[in-house]
Amino acid sequence: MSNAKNNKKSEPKDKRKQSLKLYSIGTIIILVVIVLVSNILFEKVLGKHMSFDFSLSNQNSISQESIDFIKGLPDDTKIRIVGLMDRPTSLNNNPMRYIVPLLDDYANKSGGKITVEYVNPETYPSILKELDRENVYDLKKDQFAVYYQGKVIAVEPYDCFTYDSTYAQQGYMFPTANAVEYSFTNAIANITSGFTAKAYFVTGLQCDESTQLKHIMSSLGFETADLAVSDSFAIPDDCDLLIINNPQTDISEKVKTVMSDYINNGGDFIVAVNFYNNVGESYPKLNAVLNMMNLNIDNYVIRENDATYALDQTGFAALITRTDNYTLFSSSSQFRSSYSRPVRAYDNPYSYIKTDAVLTTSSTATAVQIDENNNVHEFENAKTYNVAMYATYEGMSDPPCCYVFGTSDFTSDSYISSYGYNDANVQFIRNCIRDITGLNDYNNVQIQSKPLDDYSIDSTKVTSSNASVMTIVFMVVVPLALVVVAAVVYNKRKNL
Amino acid sequence: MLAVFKREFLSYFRSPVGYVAIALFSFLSGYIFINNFTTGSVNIASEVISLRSFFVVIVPIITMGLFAEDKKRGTEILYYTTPIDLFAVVMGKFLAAFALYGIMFVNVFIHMIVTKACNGIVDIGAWGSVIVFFFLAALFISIGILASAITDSQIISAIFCFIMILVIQLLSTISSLIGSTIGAFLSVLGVKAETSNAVGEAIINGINWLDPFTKTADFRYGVFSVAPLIFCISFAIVFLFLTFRILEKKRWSNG
Repeated sequence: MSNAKNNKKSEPKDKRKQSLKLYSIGTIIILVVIVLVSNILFEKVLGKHMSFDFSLSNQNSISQESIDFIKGLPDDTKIRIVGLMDRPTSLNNNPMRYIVPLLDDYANKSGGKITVEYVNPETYPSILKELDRENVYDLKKDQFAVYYQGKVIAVEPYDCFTYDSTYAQQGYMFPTANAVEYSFTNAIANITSGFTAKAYFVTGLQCDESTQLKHIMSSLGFETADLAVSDSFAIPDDCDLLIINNPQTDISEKVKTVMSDYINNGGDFIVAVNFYNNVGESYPKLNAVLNMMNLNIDNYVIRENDATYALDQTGFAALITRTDNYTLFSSSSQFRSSYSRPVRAYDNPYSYIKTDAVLTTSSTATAVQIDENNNVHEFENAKTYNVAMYATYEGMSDPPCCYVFGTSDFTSDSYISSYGYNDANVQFIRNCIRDITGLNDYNNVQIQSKPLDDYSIDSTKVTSSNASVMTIVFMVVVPLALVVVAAVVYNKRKNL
Repeated sequence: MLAVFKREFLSYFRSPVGYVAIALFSFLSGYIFINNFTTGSVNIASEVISLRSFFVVIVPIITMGLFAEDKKRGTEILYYTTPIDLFAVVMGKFLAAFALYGIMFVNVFIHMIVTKACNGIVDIGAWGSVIVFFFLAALFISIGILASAITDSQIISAIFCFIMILVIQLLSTISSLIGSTIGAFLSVLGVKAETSNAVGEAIINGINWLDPFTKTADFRYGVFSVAPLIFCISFAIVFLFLTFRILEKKRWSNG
């Protein structure tokens, strides 16, 4: 009887307990669900808009130039950027740290025109076939493939940076600037423009390395290849532009003949020669080819006598200015040049050859000879010299065109890697290439390179004594003092 | 809440715990800073990111006693017999542990000053890392408080907290392990390779979604997003609420 009474009493208690238990578990489940759903929704709906790039030079955001260009693409444009790798997660001290967040920004700001995905071809081998059905693009793991309507431009992470040429010669690749946006926006511009061209670099004349120039040309949509000088030298039919970049020796008779035919067939070319390691070289055969375009490179070096132009005491490094016809080639009117040779119009009598001065010195420059013992001999009176000239044939449907530079400061690896892709010289040569190949008719975007983070501290303060003092203070004195205080406190209070 | 906060915060300095935690943090941060300093390049963001690895040691030290000690001494009865909101008690203890973390972090601020004095850079990425550090600290402290509330043994509490934080820190490794194992298992069962890879990847992505470290990775590069911060705070609230419910259970359960 009493048991029954007790059971009756405890029944409401159990019920209350049960309901409180249910309430407790229910509130936990509801809170977890609310937190999960709100996080997912916030991330999906507002996540993109509630992200702000405060980094130096907006490293992780695309510039207004890229945004405007992408906005200008037709609404139905679908560009895939495929990273042929697993999505990198650990970006610390890794070049991908500049690439991954920027690509995410392309996807965020393109309004659906650009998608970014990471597919490892080792896990999904079919991705290579999917992007490159004909297997013509030679896509490899760890590259980025910019894909549009069956066409692909491969972007190597390595090519998204400029490197210090001094260190490169010693085998170290020390990046100097971030050109990730430059590389990807121009890849997008080129793949959507329909422009394709092939440029050949003549090699075997102790020419400068042309890695940086090739990179610039690649960003303009050019495929580049080397053309070695040999007895069987021939310019392929698919050559749209031939480049001779700072040869230290003259061209051979064979190259002269082939280039003459090339010019007669309307071929375009760029020649850059300076006066530094090749003081005794007058390039008679190269000049014979240039003479066909009514141009000639002289075997002198230009000395700038105007103090406002000269960049050093010798006057061999100086500023040069563009002529009026080339104001659109660069926002800057002055460019650096050093050890430049004069380029002049030859006395070819054919009136159909049109020549044009492109870059000139001040009116007080002189041409001087330097012999092999470094003795300087004044040669000509002070006047304005041309450092670069343009020539073409008038009245032809597909005339040959050429730009001839008496300096290598527009094309050499050492110059471009030192001054970066934003430099006026680089901007100028880029527009020369666009002009000579008709690329001006296509889309192209000028993107500024961005500086890389530099966390260096004043080297004079990184002394062993400073390091020792800091080691003692931060790692010995402070922690030890705190441990001593802890011991004192423990001793005083252990019996409380 | 203020009274609980004050009591708990001061108790860190009435026992060796607070001093030992600060000493440990000071030693570790000093070691990382000096290592960077001697290379001639100091990135405060990297230092702060490295310090996050020590959450797994420092958080259990400062949270293990928060409730476990009271339970052991029997003083937890005060929470139920005094007219104080139980959630305020949880919040007070949470804020006390968080404030101790703030004091520890003074070390890093000193390193920032030294860096500036040596013409180094304390950029927006460094401040981003600091913000993330505190949001992650809030998340992990809430886990530590939960661990402390479920047991009356400080050791068990510390071990539980250690394991929880370790699992979160290794989430991306664990996810790839689970994802690839399941993918391989499906392949063995005869599922098409690409389908099994896709399933594996979906599992990896699903688990990685819970990884606060991946979510907040971009802060060190100066890209600030609100979503990861909301993630940290909301899950910290979940763990604090769980702690509150565990404590409140005593009001209605027999045990």
